[in-house]
Amino acid sequence: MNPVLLARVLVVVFWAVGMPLAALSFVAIPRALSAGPLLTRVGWAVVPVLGLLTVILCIRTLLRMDARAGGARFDRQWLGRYYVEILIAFIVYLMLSTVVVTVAPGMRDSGLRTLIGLVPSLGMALIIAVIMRWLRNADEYHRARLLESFAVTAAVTVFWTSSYSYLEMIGLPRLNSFWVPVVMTTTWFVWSIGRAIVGR
Amino acid sequence: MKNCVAELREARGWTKVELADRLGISRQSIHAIESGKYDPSLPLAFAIGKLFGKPVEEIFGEGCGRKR
Repeated sequence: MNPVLLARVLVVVFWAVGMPLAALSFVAIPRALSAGPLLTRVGWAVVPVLGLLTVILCIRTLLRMDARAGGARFDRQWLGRYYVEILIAFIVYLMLSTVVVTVAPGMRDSGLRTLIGLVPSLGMALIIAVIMRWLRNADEYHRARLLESFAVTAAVTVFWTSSYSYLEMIGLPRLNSFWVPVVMTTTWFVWSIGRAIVGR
Repeated sequence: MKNCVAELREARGWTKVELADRLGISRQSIHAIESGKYDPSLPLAFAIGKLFGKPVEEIFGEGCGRKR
């Protein structure tokens, strides 16, 4: 396949399949570990595995293609380091979430249970630290684009969550707040694709 | 903003990747600057001017292409 076309396909697969599945892991992991029919739980467990595999495969292939094509040093250092760091942070988060969802419900001491329940936040803090480092190390063009994406994503997420809160009040099903990162990632994806289409 | 970064780069036989490496920025940034989609900050504009050995006003804006 033409390398340019392959790179574009990989970017679309990364954003359209890998990232939504990875974001859906926030919802999938608690469901995979909770009580319910085995088949349904296995189905939820497949989501984070498939998401991580897709993300790793896309990143690995893109970085190898870029190295072969003699891409700019900055791109290799900045993106290469970021992808490795965010992947590690995400895996740490998933592991901490898995441990907490498995261990916490069986604990009797409510204080300790609350404390253990906050452990995945350490993984989330790690993800935030990686994203902040990514933003700080970006060159000025990418920093401007990323800040624009963050602003749009935050604004649209506030719009969605506040709108749905009113719908919940009038009887629509109550949703878990784990859906917020799913909405954020989807917004980021739609915004990035939309910007690419209009050529900005 | 109009600029003649692409012309200056091509005159030296550099690729976008080479220019990006010399300035320590990404290839996409060079593409965005050359196509006029992004106007660089003053520090980056001065770095570009220094690299090409020209004042900023000869590279960016209406001055582009006049005194070359």
